[in-house]
Amino acid sequence: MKTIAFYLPQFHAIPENDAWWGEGFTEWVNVKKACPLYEGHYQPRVPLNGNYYNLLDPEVLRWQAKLAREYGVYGFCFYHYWFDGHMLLEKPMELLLREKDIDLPFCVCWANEPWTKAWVSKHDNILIAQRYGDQKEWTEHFNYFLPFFKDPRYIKNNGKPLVILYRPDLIECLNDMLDCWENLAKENGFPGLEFGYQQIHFDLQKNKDDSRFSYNIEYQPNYANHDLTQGKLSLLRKVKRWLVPKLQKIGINIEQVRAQGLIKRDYDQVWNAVLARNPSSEKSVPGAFVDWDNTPRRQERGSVFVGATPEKFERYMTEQIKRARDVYHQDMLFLFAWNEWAEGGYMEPDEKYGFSYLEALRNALIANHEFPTDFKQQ
Amino acid sequence: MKQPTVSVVIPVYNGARFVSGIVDCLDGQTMKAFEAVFVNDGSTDGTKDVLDSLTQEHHSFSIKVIHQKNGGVSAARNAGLNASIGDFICFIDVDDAISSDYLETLYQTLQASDVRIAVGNITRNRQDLQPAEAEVREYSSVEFLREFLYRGIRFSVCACMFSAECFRESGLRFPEGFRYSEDVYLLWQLFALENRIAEVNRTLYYYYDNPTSAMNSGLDLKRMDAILLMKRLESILAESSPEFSPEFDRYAVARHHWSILWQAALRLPKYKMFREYCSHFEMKAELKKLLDYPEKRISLSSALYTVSPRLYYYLLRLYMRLKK
Repeated sequence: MKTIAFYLPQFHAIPENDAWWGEGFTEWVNVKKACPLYEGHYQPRVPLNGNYYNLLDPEVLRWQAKLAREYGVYGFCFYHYWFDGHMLLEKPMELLLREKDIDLPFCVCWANEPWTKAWVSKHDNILIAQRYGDQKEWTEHFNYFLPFFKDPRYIKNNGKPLVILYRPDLIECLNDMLDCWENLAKENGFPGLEFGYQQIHFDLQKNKDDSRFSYNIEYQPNYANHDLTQGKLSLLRKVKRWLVPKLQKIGINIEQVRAQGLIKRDYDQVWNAVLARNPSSEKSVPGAFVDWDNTPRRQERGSVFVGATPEKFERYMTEQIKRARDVYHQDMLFLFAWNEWAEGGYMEPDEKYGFSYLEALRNALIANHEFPTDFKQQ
Repeated sequence: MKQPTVSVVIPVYNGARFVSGIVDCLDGQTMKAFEAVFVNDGSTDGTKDVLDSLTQEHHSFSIKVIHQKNGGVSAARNAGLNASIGDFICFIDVDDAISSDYLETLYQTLQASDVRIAVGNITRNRQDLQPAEAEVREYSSVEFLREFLYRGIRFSVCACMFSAECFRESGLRFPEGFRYSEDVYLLWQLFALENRIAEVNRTLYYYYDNPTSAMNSGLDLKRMDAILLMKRLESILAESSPEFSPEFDRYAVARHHWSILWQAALRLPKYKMFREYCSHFEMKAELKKLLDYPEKRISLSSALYTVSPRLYYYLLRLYMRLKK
C-alpha cells in the first residue's frame, strides 16, 4: 500500500514571507507561539529534541526520507505554489531533485488557491492572486515540472506522472490546461499524465466535469468534516458555500466571515466518519489524517480535534488501509500529513509521543500485509 | 454420517493486530466444516483479550482458544494439535493469509488421491492468492523427498493438510526449543513415513515477511539449530528411508549452510561482520559438497564462495541491488 503523505515546504524563510510576516518567518513561528486554549489542550507542539529544521538543508530531507522509509510512508506529495510563473517555497523540492541519493518517491500537488492571509488573519487579504493564462503559461508551467517528472523517484502509474490539483474548481480553463499538459507529456515521451484532485469543493460541484482526472482523492479530515456537518448547515452557511467560490474566482475572498470561537470536535467521531465513507466512483482514493489542530495559525478562531492518541490512530489506520484495498480497490491512500505542524497533522516525532505515530502507521501496514515491500531490502 | 472436520491450528505470539485479518480469511473459506484452534503462546500484547473476545462472536466455524506460558512456536503448535478434534490438520500462522479455497483444495486433493498428506504452494506475493486451475501430482515417498530436497523452499508446513492419523500413529510432534527449521524437521519425518504424497499445484498460502521481525532480528547463531536438526535427521532417515538417505546425507546439511550464508551476505552490512559470522560454521567444507548440486544458482554461488568469500559477498550484494 502506497501511503502518500502531504508535505508542507514552509520550513525555510523566503523574501515574500519575510516581507508579509516579518523577517525569518517560517511555519515554525506559528508552531512556537501556540498556547493551550483549554485544560488539557496539547499545545505548543514541540518537535523531538527541538528539531525546528530548515528545509534548505539537504540533510533534513535525507533524514525525513529515511524516517519515512523506515516506517512505511511510501512517498511525499509536495505542495507546489505557482502563480503565473512566480513560485513560493519551491526550494525543498528542487533540492530533492538535485540530491539524487535521497531515496524517496514524491509527487506534486499544485496548491492553486490565491496566496492569502487566510490562516492567520481575520481578513483574507490576497497577497498573490492566481492567473491561469493560456497555452504559453501552461507550457511554461509544464516545462518547470518536466525535470521532476523525468526523475526516477517521481511517482508514476504505468509510466504516467501523478499530478494532484488542490482545487480544480478555481481553474476556469481546467480541461484545456490539462489537455495541453497531457499532450506535452506525450511529446516528451511519457504515455500521459495521471491527474488527481484533492479538495472537496470540486467534488461537490453538481455538474463537475472530472473526465480528465483518474483520481478523486478524499482529502481528510475535510471530507469527514463535510459529512458530519452535511444537512446541518444554516441557510447563511449554505449561501456562503455557494457564494464564496464564485467570489474567489473573481479574486474576492470572504472565507472568514465567521463569528464562532474555537470549534472542538471528537477525534473518534471524525475518524468514524472517515471510515463510514464509501467510494463514490472507481476514481475515489481514500484519505486519512493523523490529527487536527490549527490553533497555532488561528488561535481561538481555529478548530481542534479532541482525544487523538497513537493507539487510536493505529486502529483506524489499520481499518482504512484494509478499506483502501478491499473497498476502494486502490493501492494508495493519502495521508494528512507528513509535517503540517501548525495544523496538527504530522508524522514526524515530537516531544510528547516520540515516534509513536510512525510506529502506529508501520503496525497498521504490517497488520494488513501492506508494508511497502521494496523498502525491506534496505 | 459424521461430517469430516478439519482442525486449523494457529499459534499466536504477540500477534493481536493480525488476528482480525486471519479471521477474515477463515470466515471466507469455501469449506465451512472446520475448527480453528488458536494457541496464545504467552503473548504480552493483548492477544489474550483479542482471542477471548473471538469466542463471543458468531462465526461459521468453531473456535477454540488455548492460553499457555510462552514455550515457542513448536510448543504452541503441539498444544493446538493435542487439543484438536479434526480428522485432518492444518497449521497456519496468524500474520499470514490463505486463499479462500485453501481448505477445500487441500481436502479435495487428499480425497481424490487417497493420500494422507496433501501439499500446496506458498507465495510471498499476496496477489498470487487468486483462485486458479488446480493440477494434482502424486509422488512416491522417495520421489517426494527428492522434491523436498531440491525445491524445499516451495514447501511449508503451513501449506499442507495432514490426516490426523499421521500424528496419531507415529506420535511425532514439532521439536520444542528450536527456533529455526523446527517445522522442516517434522516435515521430513512425516513425509518419509508415507507411501504416497499429493502436491496440488495451486498457490494457497501467503507467507508474510514481517518487516518488524526482519528489521529487528539480526542474524544470530541460533541458526545453528537448523544444522543441528538436519544432522539429527540423517540418522532418522537412514532408518525410515534407506533408499533416499545417501542423497540426503550428501546435500541436506550443506544446503542449509548455503541458505545461512546467503542470508548472512544480504543482511550483514560489512564484509568483516560477514566473515566473522561465517567463521562459526564449516562453510567452505560444506559448500564444496554443493558444486554438483542440480540447481545452477546454488552450485555456481557455492563455487564462487569456495574460490573467494569476499567476491561472493560483494557480487551477491551487487546482484540483489540490481535486482531491486
